[in-house]
Amino acid sequence: MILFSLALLLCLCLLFSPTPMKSFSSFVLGPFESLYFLGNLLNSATPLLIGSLGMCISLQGGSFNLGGEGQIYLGGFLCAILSIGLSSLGAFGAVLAVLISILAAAIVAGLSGLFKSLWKTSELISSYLISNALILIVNYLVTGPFQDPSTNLFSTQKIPQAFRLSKILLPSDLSSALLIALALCLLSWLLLYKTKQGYEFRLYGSNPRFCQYGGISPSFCQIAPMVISGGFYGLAGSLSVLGTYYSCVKEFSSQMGFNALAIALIARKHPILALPASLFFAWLSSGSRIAMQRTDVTVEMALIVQAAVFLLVTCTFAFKRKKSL
Amino acid sequence: MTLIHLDSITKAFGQTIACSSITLDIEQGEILCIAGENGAGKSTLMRILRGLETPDSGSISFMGQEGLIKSPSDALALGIGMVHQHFMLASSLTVAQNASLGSELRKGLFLDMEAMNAKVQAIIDECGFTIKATSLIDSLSVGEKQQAEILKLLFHDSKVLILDEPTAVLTDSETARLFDTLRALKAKGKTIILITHKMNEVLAISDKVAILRQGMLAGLYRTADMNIERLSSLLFGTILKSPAKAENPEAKAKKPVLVFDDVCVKKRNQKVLRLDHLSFTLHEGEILGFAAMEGNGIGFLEAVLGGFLPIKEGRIISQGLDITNFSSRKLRQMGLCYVPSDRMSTGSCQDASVMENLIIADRKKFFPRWVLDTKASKAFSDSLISQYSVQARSEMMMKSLSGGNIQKAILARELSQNGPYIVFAQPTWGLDIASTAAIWDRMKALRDSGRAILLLSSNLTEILALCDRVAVLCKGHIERMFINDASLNARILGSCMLGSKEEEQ
Repeated sequence: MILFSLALLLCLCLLFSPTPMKSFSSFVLGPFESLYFLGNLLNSATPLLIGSLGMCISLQGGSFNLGGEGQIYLGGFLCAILSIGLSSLGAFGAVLAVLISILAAAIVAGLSGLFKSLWKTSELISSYLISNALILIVNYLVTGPFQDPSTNLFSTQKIPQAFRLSKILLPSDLSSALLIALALCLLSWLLLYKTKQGYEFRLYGSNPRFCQYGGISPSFCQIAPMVISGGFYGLAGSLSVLGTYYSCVKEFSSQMGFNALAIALIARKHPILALPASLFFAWLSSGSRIAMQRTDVTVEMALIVQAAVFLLVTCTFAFKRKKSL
Repeated sequence: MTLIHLDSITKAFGQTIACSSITLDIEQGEILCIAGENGAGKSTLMRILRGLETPDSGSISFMGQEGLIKSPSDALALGIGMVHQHFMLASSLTVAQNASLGSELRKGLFLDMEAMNAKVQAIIDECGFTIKATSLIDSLSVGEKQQAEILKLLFHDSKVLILDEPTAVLTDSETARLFDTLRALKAKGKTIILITHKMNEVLAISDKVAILRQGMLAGLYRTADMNIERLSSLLFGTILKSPAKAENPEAKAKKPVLVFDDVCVKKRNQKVLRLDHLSFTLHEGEILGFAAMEGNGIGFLEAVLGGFLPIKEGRIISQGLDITNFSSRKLRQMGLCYVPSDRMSTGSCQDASVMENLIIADRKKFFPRWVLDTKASKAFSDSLISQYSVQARSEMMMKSLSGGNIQKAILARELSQNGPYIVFAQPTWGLDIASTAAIWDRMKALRDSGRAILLLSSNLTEILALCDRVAVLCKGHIERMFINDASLNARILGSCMLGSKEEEQ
């Protein structure tokens, strides 16, 4: 499968690039050429991994949280302004800021779950709509009342030095958030496959009627997976701010939510498989960025390659899944 | 002339061997019955012939040529068609549209609906079917839907018709009509393969019968040489007697366990009563049966008992406790034992393991401090599996089990609960004689040990064999309550079930 996608990549390079071999090699090998590129790859995989873990849990529980974009953005924004506000509290303040961000995003996602259990509304649609509204509201706040007056950038003030996560692979941007993500990967697996709640989620996801019959509360299984995935998205947003951006930049979360969702689907809702899937995704996007910087590969071309490879991988997994049934 | 030759076909699903080296000849223009118990491999073998499954080893030759069937479309092109146990029809389309699906007649760019209707109607007339080409599938009864399914095969000019337990859902008169149709098709030179476990059907319709036992071919016999004793001993190893009637006269003296007091269920926003002032009392040590034609409220009664459907009026009391409108969750907390009629999606989760299916009611016990106790749950599940001789292992997926084994697993789980009463809804529907007898024996043993049992069933033989009292449900209310003594028989019950229905119309 990987060989095939490489071959496809090569074909596209031959077709569109005047220097095909150079484009191809920077695409494929670029991310591994230096610690700087490798670190950035891992760093961009981090929030995607966290978000997709939440999605794995929610999808296994039968809930489709399509509001990741807004929930990440909200988490990041709250974390940024709280960090500034709570700077006097030191490390405790940082933890508090992250917790509040997680809670806020979890509540927003949980609302969709609540609506579903009360009125049978589709959580997919309601979470998407709420998230779109949130993005606009946060956009206003970032460019309006909370904009950093010292720059012309559309972003909030920088968070205090003490709150920033440590870099673990200089000169790259890679922060210790990666370690948190790896720990969560394991925790999500434990939650889904070893705890009572995980058991209930999985059964509810595959057969809600059987769960009700067996005495599992349907509303719990409609709300809790949404709350958890919202919380994971909130965490992804706040760790991006604390570890990478140091402020809430306007629309920093763009595409993160959808990409995390795509990763969870590629990983077939399995939290451990989400790790390789998010690394693959990050490799693809950083490879195309490097190819763009070094050669005449255009943005469109890079996106086409990304989309093609992505489609291919999804197909491969979908077929495998069909065969195994 | 041998049309199809199956040569040592073997197919395993995981550790379960569904078909083990089966060699079978099927001749042109015969009606062949494939008979066997649940899980004997009948359906799997036919799915292989239809190209829906690939055998692990062995080969199929069609008219002397080997290796023609590699996929469902290959089989279809050769003229091998199958009517599945569960119908595969698009319910919002007409009979003709369903029949022609995939090979529509066209006029230019557009579908030629008129020509299709005419062609389908011609086949209908030729076969003496009762349906119309232009009726919507939704408006058909079960028997008529089956005609539509057979029509699909005839439209595609199938030479070999495979029918998977076609009579499971039919009434006696519908079955007789189906058999007439099959004989007529045979006269036209079609080859018909019938999967069944009903012995009287084998004797009534087939030319030959192939008997499968635990995935192996136990023999291919001419039906003319068969009688019911010989056939049942071949199928089950022992000759089964018809079940003895229940005799348990003291039931009335015992104390009440479940009381329904004027229970009403209304259709949302309408005045139609789905359950109409239902009142009855279930005592310990008795089996109370509910018999009804489909559509007379037995499904709603089941939903109320399972905690799925809230009631509008009345009270339900169990052992002094008012359990009116308890959710399934609360009913489970008091130990509800309930074997649902829909065993595939309500009673079990097909995409979970057998163990996960077995622990659901007792799950608190197996997650001490929220974390799964792997050893205890495995031990619990293994012990239920061996106690109820379910042919499965704890870690197997529920969907890899046969229907009979799924029902055994559900029974094992429900009877491990110790609620005040037990609800059985259609407990033996579609099961073979041996499994049915085992379930009946278990129910009698439970009754004799003093448990209170509610049996909802449309099978009158079952009702008469087990119940102490029988309530006949008509249009949501109890038409009559019978004591099941020597004078009660299926004819009396049947006319009571039908009689008032005709009166009202």
